Amino acid sequence: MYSLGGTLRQLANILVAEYKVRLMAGWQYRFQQSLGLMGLMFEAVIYLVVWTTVAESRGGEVGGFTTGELAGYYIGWMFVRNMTTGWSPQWFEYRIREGEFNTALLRPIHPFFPDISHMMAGKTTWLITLLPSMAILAWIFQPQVTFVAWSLIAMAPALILAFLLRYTLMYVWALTAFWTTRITALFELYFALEFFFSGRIAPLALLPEWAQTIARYLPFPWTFAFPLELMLGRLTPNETLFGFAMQALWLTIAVIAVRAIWRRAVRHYSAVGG
Amino acid sequence: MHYLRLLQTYYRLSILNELQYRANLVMQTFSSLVQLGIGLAGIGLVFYNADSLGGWQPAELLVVLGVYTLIAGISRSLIMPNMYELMEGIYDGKLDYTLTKPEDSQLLISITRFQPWRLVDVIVGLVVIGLAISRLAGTIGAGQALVFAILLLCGAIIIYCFWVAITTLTFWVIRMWEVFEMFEAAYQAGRWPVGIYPTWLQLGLTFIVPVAFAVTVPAQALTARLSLPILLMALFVTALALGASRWFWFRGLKSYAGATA
Repeated sequence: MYSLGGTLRQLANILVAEYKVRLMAGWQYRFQQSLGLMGLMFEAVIYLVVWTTVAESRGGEVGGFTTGELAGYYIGWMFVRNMTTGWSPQWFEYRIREGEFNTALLRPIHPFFPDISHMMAGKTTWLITLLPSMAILAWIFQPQVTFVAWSLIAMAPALILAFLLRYTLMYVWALTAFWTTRITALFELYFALEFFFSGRIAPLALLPEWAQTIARYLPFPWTFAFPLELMLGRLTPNETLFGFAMQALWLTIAVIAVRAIWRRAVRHYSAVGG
Repeated sequence: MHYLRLLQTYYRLSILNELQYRANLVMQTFSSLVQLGIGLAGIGLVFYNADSLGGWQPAELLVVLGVYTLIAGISRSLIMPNMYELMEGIYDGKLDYTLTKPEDSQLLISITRFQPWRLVDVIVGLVVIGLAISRLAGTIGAGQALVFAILLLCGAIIIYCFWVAITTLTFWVIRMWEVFEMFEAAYQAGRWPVGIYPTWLQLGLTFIVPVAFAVTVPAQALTARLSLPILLMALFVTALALGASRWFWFRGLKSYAGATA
């Protein structure tokens, strides 16, 4: 007999089992895997230094951020960035080329779900380097953060939604690998826009007014800056509600897109290798 | 002469191979322009919020961006493809084919692959440097141009030596991909003058990942920031890097087990 509760429990069991397998597989290479995170940390340190230099030249403040608050922003940045990574189109292309997708498609579950577990396992391994690095950077750069209780609580669902939203949007792009790899350049444009409008290159408050207005209606800030600024207690309750509404809106759009494209992608798929 | 002919033969093969994929040129150009856009927008954002960055003016940061793009282009078209090839060769034993050829092994592994389309970044970098110079002073003297060219060459050589040394580690360490990724990421720091970073990071970007000598020092030559000691040191480090990487390569080769292992 069909029951929603049963289906969900079954799905949760599969997600957990897949997570354990992937974690154990990745754990053997924990040192090498954790190096993969270094790129992310370099990016954070580079822009922390750039904006700290800018703030110092203006007497210690830029866009409402003191140098200590900038340090808090970029150390939190590393955590949120780790939690919101998704699969790249390149990885999908690799899986298709190597014929790995044959097995994935034979399983009676949408690869979207085991892929989430695989991603979460990677994030867990990354924490080995992430947490000590955050501590070291905190010691060097002396962050200044005033935590707000309700804001911290709201951050948990915001972070989960941000991950699901970014993960699903990246899945949409990744699915295009079923047809062609010739549009790699287009992802680059997309990721470049994301880099500016999500709060990664700089806190959104440092962007010109017009760019901040555009950002509000794009999915990008809701996959990154929103949970980050909640963590740092920089948002008003109204801004928070607006943020959740935008997350829900974009997640709906992204899920519809994945479902529509997935159906066509699988029909188009022809197996490679064995 | 003999070595030039060898180089010519290998590069001609690579070019013939790449000519089959001419659409890649369009993709590479688009991608280079996106990367340039990121660089320009980043500089724009800094100067939207400040008048100078650690004493560097907008046009001077353009020089840094230009050199960064140029060196990245050299690295991605002439150096990195060889390193990937070498790493795989060590894994699966295909390096055997290279080693049995009666030529210098380090030369051979350094010229097997050449990706001409990636040279687009070199052109983009030169255009950016040209624009920056026209905004800075209008012209530069022949002497200054020569010093700049020498330092660029030194920068490219240092980057090459660095990658040979890193890839040689594959003889002992498996799964080097992530190490590659890490150093690619560290190179990003070169988008900005190394002088803005805290001292510990400056040291790392000078002696561990040679970003300072590859990008910032040549940029200093064009922005009247170069002193004689730094120029001499760049030359010295280049010579040292060449010697050390060559020694390390032959040291690593001794540990190579071949395809049968």
